[in-house]
Amino acid sequence: MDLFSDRMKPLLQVENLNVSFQTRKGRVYAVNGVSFQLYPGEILGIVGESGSGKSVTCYSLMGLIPNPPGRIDSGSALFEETDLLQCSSRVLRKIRGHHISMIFQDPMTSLNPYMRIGPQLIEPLRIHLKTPRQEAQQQAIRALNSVGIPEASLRLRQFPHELSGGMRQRVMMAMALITEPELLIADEPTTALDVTVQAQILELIRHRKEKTGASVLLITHDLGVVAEVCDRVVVMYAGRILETGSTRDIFKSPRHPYTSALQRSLPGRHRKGELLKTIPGMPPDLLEPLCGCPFADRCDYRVPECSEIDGELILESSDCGTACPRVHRGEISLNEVKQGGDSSL
Amino acid sequence: MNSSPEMLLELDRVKTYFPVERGLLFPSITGWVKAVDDVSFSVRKGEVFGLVGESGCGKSTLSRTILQLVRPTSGAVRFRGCDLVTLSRKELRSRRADMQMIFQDPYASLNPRMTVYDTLAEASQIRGATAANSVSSDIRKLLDQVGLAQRHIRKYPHEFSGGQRQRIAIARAIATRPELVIADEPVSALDVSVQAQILNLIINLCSERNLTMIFISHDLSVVRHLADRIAVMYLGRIVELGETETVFHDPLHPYTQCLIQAAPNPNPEMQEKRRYQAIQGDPPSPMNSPSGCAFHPRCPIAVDECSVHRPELQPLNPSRLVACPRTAEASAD
Repeated sequence: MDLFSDRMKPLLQVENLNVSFQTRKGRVYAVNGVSFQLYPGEILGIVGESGSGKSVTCYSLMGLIPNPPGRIDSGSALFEETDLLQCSSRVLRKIRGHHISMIFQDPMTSLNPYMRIGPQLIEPLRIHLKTPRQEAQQQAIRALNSVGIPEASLRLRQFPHELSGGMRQRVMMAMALITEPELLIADEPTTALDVTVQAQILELIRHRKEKTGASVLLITHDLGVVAEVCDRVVVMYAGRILETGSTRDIFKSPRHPYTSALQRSLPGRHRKGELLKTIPGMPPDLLEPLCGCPFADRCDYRVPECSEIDGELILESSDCGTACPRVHRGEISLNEVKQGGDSSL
Repeated sequence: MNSSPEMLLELDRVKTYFPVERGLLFPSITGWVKAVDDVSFSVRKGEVFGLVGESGCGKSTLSRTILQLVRPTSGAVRFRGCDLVTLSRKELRSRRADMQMIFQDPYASLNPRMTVYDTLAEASQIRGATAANSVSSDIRKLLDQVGLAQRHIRKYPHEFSGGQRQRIAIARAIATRPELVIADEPVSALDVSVQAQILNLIINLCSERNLTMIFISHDLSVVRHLADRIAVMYLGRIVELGETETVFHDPLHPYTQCLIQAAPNPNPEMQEKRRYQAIQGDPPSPMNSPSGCAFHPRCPIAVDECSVHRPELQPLNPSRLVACPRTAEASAD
């Protein structure tokens, strides 16, 4: 789907990002040569298992990688003419919380437990837009209402611990969206929540995008969440992008053995009680720079060549690509993932 | 409830309440958290019984109550016909080997100072294997069964990945040759690809050893895959119970319907067909649960009566129970 790329300039363009961390055992190469674009008004999902580098990618955009031990080795991230990786911390502070906001997995640890909801909520307005306090209060009430929190004026006087988990995550969202940022980065926003509350938050993200046209970068490990809200998907593994494409394509006809294996291992795709198709082995150790395809050891379609290729993403159209040269050349056809019918809830 | 021979475990009106205390010096009880409130069901020998519900609905407290890690406030828990509630701690000890548990966080449930060998040896000695060579042959067999290499035998938990740790935890649980295993969210902390490996292991063990299992999870697709029957809990009570496929195909209780609809589905095409309205509100706190049916403030089909009378779990047919008079009537018509 070239829905976005034809008409628009990307809002965020990440090129060849490399991030590593110094540890006691040596340097860990957490993100290797990651490039992607995010267009205005789209929800881009970054999926991957733990340790795949999805969070590190987004933290480096926000300047949240602690240095030391972390280090951004190379790359650029253009957000409306500004390179987020090169700009001074003063410029970054102006962008963060105003043009780009972030919500985190655990709303309890990202809200200040000593502050009432009200002052926390209007902080970005007061700092970035210098909104007078009275007016900011009014906006805060509107923001809480828009994320579905009833009795907003009462909530403003409460402390975070007085709210439930879903309520806290909604406060976080209200806070992140109060300055109407062009880009919202959501790092596993629903992982700590119950399914019914998760459905509400996802609904909110989708609704927000439709209403304001803001872009969302959604980091998650849950393929179900991706299918639910994302327009496009980036699949990460061992610090690299293995596949990118529209959500529909990724689920219907995956273009990388890892993506297809991952989907085949979901219980919903099997007959009841049947043994699940598993991916043998473990993700590679990132302590050494990888050579070859990072998934080669666990791949069903491995050939000797796989340990020599550079493992880079081959773009097949402007926003669809695979890192598997064999799929690209049409040497292997990944079985279409069986859809629908009994396999779904 | 009749005690029939094939029932391994029977729960009869089990209630587990926790007191809420106020005051530091002279604490007084100001309320009760009804973590498990009047729960009855039975588990057949050899079946996988799924227990689903959101956090705080009491599914973990229920599992701890079954094992008597928490003593119930009232009710009976009969294991092979013997009421565990009436047993003393000492009497319980001898029965614990028959009932084992697998926890969510394998790191927290393994002793970090014990090697794999020590952990498993302790468990298998409970079953009377004392001679050193029989213990170590037991352990080798166990490691084989859970798919861990023999060279790991002298390692400590921190040297393993999450999936491997869960394998050790499973090996320890089956080391005492239990009849009943309670698995409390055993795969929730694991990545998708590892989750499939552990689920396969559980499926294999259940069929090889003819284990009876209570499988607790918030992930509906996992429970659907494993469980023969499921019970859906909301705020300490079971709201629906039945054969897994029947419940998933035709959920009767409004909460079950909401839960199944809210589960994200990794299939974008199904998504588009199903634009539903997410149910509003959060699960209420079990400390002050709503009057009448606990689900009525969030229920799309609630009527005034729902806030007055607490619906009992009613049998629709021998294998299906629902705690909602409105859906029970509708489906009887």
